[in-house]
Amino acid sequence: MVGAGVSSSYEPVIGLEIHVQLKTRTKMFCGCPAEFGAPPNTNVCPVCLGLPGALPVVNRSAIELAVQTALALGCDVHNRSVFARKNYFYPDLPKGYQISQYDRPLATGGVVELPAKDGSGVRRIRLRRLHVEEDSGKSIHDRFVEQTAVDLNRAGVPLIEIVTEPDFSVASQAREFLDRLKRMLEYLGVSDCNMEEGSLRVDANVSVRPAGSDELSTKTEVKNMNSFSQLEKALESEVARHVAVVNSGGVIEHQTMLWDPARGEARPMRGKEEAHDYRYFPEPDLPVLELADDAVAAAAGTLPEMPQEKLERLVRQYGLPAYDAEVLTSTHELADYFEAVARLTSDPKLASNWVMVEVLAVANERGSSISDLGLEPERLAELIAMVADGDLSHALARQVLSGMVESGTSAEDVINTEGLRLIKDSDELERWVAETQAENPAEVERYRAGEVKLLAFFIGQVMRRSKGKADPERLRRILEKSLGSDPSEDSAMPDTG
Amino acid sequence: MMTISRTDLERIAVLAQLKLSEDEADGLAGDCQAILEYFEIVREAGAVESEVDGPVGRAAPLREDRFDCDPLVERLEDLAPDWREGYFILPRLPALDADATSDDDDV
Amino acid sequence: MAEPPTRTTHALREELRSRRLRVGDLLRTTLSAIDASDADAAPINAFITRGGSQLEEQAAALDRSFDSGDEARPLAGIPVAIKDNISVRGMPTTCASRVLEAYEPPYEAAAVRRLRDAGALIVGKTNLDEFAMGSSTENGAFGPTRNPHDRGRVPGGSSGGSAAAVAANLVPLALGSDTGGSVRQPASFCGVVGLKPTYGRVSRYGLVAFASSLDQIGPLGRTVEDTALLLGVIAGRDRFDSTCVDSPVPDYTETIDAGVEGLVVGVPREFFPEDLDPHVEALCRAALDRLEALGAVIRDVSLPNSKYAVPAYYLVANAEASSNLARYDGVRYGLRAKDVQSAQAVYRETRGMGFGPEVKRRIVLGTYGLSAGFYDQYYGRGQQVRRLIAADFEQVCATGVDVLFTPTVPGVAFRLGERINDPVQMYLSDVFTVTANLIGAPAISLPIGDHDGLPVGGQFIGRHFQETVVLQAAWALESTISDRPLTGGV
Ligand SMILES: [Mg+2]
Ligand SMILES: [Zn+2]
Repeated sequence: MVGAGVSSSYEPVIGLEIHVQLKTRTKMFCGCPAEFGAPPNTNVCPVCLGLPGALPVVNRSAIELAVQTALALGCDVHNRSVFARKNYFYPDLPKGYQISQYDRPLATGGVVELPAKDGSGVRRIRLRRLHVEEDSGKSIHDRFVEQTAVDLNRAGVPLIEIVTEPDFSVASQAREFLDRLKRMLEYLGVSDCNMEEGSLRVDANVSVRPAGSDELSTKTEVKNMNSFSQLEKALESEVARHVAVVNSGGVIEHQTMLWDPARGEARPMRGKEEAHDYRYFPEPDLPVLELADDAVAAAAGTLPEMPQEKLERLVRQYGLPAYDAEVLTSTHELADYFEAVARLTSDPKLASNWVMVEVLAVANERGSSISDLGLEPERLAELIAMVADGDLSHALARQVLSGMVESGTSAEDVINTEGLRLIKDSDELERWVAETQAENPAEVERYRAGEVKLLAFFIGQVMRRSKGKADPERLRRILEKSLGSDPSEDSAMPDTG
Repeated sequence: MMTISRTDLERIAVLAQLKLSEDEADGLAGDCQAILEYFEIVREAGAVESEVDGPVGRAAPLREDRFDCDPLVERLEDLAPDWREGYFILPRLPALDADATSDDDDV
Repeated sequence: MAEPPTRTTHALREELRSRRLRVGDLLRTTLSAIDASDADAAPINAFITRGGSQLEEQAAALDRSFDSGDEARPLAGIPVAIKDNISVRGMPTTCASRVLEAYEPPYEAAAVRRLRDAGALIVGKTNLDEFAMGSSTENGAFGPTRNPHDRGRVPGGSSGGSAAAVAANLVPLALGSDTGGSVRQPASFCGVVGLKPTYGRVSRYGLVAFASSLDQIGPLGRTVEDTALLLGVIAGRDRFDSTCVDSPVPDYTETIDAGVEGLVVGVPREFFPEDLDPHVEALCRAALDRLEALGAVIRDVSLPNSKYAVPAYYLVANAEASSNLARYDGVRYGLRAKDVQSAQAVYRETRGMGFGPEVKRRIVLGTYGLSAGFYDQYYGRGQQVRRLIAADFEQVCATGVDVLFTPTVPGVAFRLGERINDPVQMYLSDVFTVTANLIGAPAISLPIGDHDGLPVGGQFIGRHFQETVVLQAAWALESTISDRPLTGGV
């Protein structure tokens, strides 16, 4: 049957091209601020305006960040690489060329491993190259009627471009790769990786081929995805389009497709009829970029622990489940925070629960980062210790936690000022239990008739009465004793006898 | 021997964004042909390994990541052919989507 | 009205220091000499822009400084002219192009800053071939410059305005730029001294790029010593130019009279072809005889690949130029075509009307030479030949040769319009100068005599960063030539 088998008889071949803005203070080739969001055309100078006679000078920090990234991705960093001019006209490209790298990039090779999933094995995504270049400015077409407005603040901001081999055969793999890459870049601290502000931009090239073959088919480029989920949708949609065209006997045209998130479809980019010919040649204004072996080795020595290594270590060192370690390593900050807490507690699993559940919940609720909570690891560790020692119930401890964040004080202070100490006093507990039994005679009857699961009901009632402060251990003992020792117990017995 | 045709010339003029009148194009085609013929002599020169050197055969100096640009002594709006609300202005590129910038394109 | 100063910079410095000559007076005579040189049916037209009232204040300040007795800067009060492709604050930088006709740079070239720090008076911007593309200073948007020795002839180019200004005694010193001979060739035609420093010796920051891997700013003066003085002021490291080298700048004037005893002077046979103008050849041979008499060792050498230098030079230079000139798009500064409806039309119309024919020719050739499928046979081939020539030069140096001596140009200044329609003939006037640019070596042209009243120049090419040796050789030769045409026809 042709119809049913068609989609599975083709496999997508997808490669990614990723541009990442580097987190430097100044631009790639001049000392202008590289910050985002300044008034238009204020962070500019002769160099990034492309004034006649201005010349580029390479930013050391941009090279260092690029080298760190290349090393973290397992690329070969070359001792000599060459800047090249990529020539084309565009209003936001001030010199009429972009300074990039071409046939001698900073780094080549490298691999990112996607862990085994859904029965498939580890997938190795090979990297073709990593090079440094400068960003363009911004052309704004919707600000003034029939006019293009040009802002050159972004012109010259340092970028790295990472190109993968076409090693993805499913759109979701591309997304997973990008999640991992983004996490690595954040760990390295080389970029903000903010797709909305454009500090991370991803283009894809897509083709399809008969499953299992290794033939090369015509590919299209897909651009303009502003989130990872849009990227996944765009890839799925473009793959489906390729399959449909091929199935209907059509031919895929080599072209650039612009993803339209609102309509959920990719459309051919118009106005690109001029065949591109970038006329690359070595940038004569910049000598060769030389990186000595010992400088590269030194950079390798200062690389922070990468997410996967950290995950494995958390499992090993603290005995955490893989799931916990995965959540805790989602950001560098969270993992560091967990470790700071875990070092101060005797129960790493309890610390993990508190950090990945309660602390993250408070942070999400307040829309702030962990560090903005002002919750020092020492103080969280104190709180966890109180829970472990039975001085606080879990429920009470949650109240204390939110009080600590609210007031910026210690657990002890919150407990004292808000009276959140666990009530262990037997007289008080017994009084609440008596009151509760008196108010719920029917339930007492049923309990005594053997419906012992009603114990939870009584605990809940007493807890409410105590505003959650009743010591749960003691309460349970008192309740069991009190419910079981009722004088009417004997008369109920014959029913069961 | 290489020849430069009118079609070549038109392709080059598009790449170089250079408007040429008919007369100019005729003259240029002839001149360029003569010049390219003269340049043919370089084919006689021997081969050489094309290891890429920088312009001076030394390493690019690296600049510290500090705010250190050469300040402008004139206002940009006095320099710009057309300027509005802090932006350089030019007629809209035809056939461009409203949100397209060259980073979606070429960078 | 005083006569325009025909004194050397060294003489002027002495007079200013002793206050026999006031900076204000020197400025006024300089400016009126410039005006007079243009008030003629056949104007020299050396300047595109002449300085105005702001110079008066600067001159007054300099006079006060001389009065106080602590003015010791090397060029204090000395008028200097700047080629109009070098950015100077407060004056337009037109590159003799319509596309930059009204452009005033909002920053200043590193070399010009050094001149200001040295106390120089920047009196104006000199004429050139548009974007320095030419060998006759006829290709500019603002009319040709005329040779002061014969106003029916070209001054050479592209720094023809600077060379003519020095030759006509309008200024004692000037800056030019040299990409394939643009300082030395006009120096030869105008009978003055012009030096192209080692690539990387002088910052290119603020020099409007023509061919980035070949361009160097160079000094022009009436004597070798003046030229050395100016070089010493503008040379040195600059943090805004990555190709500018951080090596110490010697005092070029201090050792300039060291002589040539034992100096090995190579005479490359490819620079004395059979069809060389016999008068030029004779003057060169006479110069070599005098050098030998002074103790130099003259040796025949060969740079076999230099016969490919002119095409290799143009292949590389045009390609770089096509990219360097892409920024003139009418978006941020300079000319913009009126009444156009799209961004592409802004580019095409602005560039179509803003560039002259020679610039368009080079943009077309350069774009072609870089385009897909042609790179290897044009730009790439040019760079390869460049390496072959560099290897030839290294081999000659390795045999102990200190400097090469050649004619600067195969002939004397040609007539206005004579070669304007023959680009290949025009390009051939660079045949002896482009080699130094291709290999990045320092080279100087100095007058070695004249033929029918027209100056002839000789060229020394030295090893990289050996400007001292080149200047010593040139100074020694200059001292043997009594009939050098010091002054032009003003
Ligand atoms: Mg790129
Ligand atoms: Zn800048």
